Amino acid sequence: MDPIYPVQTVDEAYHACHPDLALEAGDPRYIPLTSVRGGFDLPVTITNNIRRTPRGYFHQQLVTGHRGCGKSTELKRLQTHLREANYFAVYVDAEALLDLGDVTYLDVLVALTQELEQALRGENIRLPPSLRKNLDQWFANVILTEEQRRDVERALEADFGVGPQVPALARMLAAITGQIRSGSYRRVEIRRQLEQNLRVFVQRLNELVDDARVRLTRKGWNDLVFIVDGLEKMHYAPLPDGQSTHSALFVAHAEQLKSIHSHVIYTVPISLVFNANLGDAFPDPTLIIPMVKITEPDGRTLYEPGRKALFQVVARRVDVAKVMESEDLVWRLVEASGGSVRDLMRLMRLACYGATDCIRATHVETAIRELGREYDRLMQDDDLDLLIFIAQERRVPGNERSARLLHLRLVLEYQDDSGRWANIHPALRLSPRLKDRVGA
Amino acid sequence: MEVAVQPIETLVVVDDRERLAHALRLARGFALFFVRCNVPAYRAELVAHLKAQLARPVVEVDLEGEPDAYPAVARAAGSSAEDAVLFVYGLEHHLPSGDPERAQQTLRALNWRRAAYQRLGRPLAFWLPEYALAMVAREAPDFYDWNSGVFEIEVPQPQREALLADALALPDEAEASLPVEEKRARLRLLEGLWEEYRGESLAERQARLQVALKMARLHESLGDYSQARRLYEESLHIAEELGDRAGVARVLHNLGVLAQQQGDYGRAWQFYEESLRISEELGDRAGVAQTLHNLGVLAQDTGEYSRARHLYQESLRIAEELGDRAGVATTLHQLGMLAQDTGDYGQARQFYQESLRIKEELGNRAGVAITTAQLALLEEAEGNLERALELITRAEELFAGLGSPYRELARRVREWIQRTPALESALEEHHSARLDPE
Repeated sequence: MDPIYPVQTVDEAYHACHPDLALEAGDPRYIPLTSVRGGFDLPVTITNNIRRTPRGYFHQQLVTGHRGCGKSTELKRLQTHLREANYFAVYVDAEALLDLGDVTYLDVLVALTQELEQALRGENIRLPPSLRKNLDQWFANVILTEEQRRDVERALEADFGVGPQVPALARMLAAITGQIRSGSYRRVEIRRQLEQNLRVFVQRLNELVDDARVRLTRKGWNDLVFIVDGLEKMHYAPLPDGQSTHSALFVAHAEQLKSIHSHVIYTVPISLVFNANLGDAFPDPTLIIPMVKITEPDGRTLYEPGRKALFQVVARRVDVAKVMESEDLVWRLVEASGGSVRDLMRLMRLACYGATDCIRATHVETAIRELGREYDRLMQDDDLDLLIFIAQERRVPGNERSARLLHLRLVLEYQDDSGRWANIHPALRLSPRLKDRVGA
Repeated sequence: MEVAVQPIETLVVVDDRERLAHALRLARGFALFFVRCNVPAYRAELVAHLKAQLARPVVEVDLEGEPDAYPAVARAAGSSAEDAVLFVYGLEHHLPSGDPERAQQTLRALNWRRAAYQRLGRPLAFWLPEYALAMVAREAPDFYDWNSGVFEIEVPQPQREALLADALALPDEAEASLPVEEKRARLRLLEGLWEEYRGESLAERQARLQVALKMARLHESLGDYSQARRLYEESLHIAEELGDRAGVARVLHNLGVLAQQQGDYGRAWQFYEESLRISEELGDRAGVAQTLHNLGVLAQDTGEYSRARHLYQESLRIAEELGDRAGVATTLHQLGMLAQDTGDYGQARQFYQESLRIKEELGNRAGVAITTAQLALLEEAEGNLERALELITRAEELFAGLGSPYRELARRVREWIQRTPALESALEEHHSARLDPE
């Protein structure tokens, strides 16, 4: 049973403040943070861009942001917003479908097809048997022998609970993503075969997408949009050729990712924002979801609207008067979060430990100390100089090391009408290695 | 963000044990916790206490010896009660410092299997030493970022002291002959203590120095020379900070031994001379004698025989004055080798026999074995094959009894001797197989 928000006790507060669950659109805990994040409303911006795209062209948008900045919440709102604007938006959770330790563009394309097939079934739209059969046979011929196919189907029933009532294509796609995810040696083989037949694969895929779009239009939809979330979580590793796994997917294979006949939104790792080639591959500027602004760029002048919005993020979940010894403690946590919603949630959780009747100053200070220790652990000695530079200059030099600091949230990015700036996470100011060098 | 933060030290903080217990009570379904506990021996005590405190089942999973982390955790979760908490130990064994490829694989798997861990639907507490936790934080940041609490458990003072005393109790020589597994277990305890003793007080830093030295010697005896050197350098740093000159001299001497073992004679010479200078200043005669002896070996190894002889004689003189019989026996053996190297077999035999006599009196079996083997080579060189065979067979038996790796070498020498009349080239091989003293 869902609790009634705001909750009244410390134990309920722990469960109400979950740092990892993206809120579904319409959740009572949702607080619009758009205006305190530099003004742009992601759902509105992207929907407008799509609406303005001339027929026959597709809008391809990249979105990024710090881990836990509320990306997934925003993308789920985008899906709702697009549906309200009559776009058939398909939300693809890459984390659930793909092996993020090892992703190629082929895995992404296969995942898109799979989710489309599923979403259409939900709408009672059936793809013409001929097209399904084409792709089906293509998979059957290229990828699997009949015998392997039966093996896969048996395995599927066991692993995924996908029964025989599912149409063949969905099963086949599940089999492909299933195998791609499972990390078996078969994956390499499947990819090699897909690669060799890529042109045919993309053509078949697009025949399916084109057909789906026609059917969707007949049902009154404006068009189809894919929202691919979670790709920013893919593992970062340098590759022998000097690229990284990140640039290999988004830069080197941008053409393939863009080859699908549909509007598409991909999330990308924040480490790529400095990659100049990404801008060539995807000409529309990458949308960055910044942290909530809680001070002006000088770091001293408080920005009340941002602070109040984050206070509300807590107050929507937790009855501050009942659970906190004083309201000041929430303000303290808001400051310590640096404007990161995830860290605010985590701080609330940490403050619950050891508290019985209510959260007192000692619990809040302990929580802040712990967050400081966590960030201290992420920081390497050779990061110190760059962090001090950023603390002084309030900007991030465009290099790989900065990308790493952003990725780990050691450095936070902010935005407002005057532009973008950055600062080190306030928790770092507690670190014995930094506190004497950057000031409180 | 400029936040007026209080210095950490002045905060009134809630104890992490209490917070951990509360977190484990609160967690429903999936939750990820990290518990930093550097000393497994203390962990067992704490877990027993937690189990008694919690009103829910605790399932313990030890990953040591498991090929892969996730399947082991999933298995344990699958067979556990719905409200069970899982304690996962030993992830550090999947993050070996000597095998970065393996460590990377483990970390990558953690990062992308986040969702799979979540689907287990149980609170997971990973118990890790500090260094492994830092690796997870930096190299699997997405996984780490999911945590709902990192609890840092410090071993209480009395337990910590007891563990330290335990870890330092065995003398280095006795420790050097322990089985490999036993050495590794001791290293793990020492690594934990190394993380625990981080305080600034004199006592803490002194303990840290002892722990580092002990770890260095263990690594050295396991043949992990780069680890040993890193730890000796760390020890040197601490000893210098403490103003512990005797400690500095001792560490420099050990660094010299290490460099010498790796064939870096130039550096070895520098370390020894520096050590010698300090020992002389401090009037540490025993230290002086030891370092002179090693300088002699170094000179001998580089063919400077007269210099070597001079250094040995000086070392011998001091050892005799101090009544250091073990030192005397070792240097006599070395003088024997020097005489043998320069073709003075008669004198060599005298030195060896004298060394052997003392070692037998002292019950130094390893020393007896080495000198006996060296005597065998001498007899063989003089053509006394029967005597040589008799001696080498005895040395081989002694080495076997000690579990020494020299046993194999002695066996090969015995076989050569048995074949000698037919083999002219055997002589050369004997020289390359010359046995160095302890």
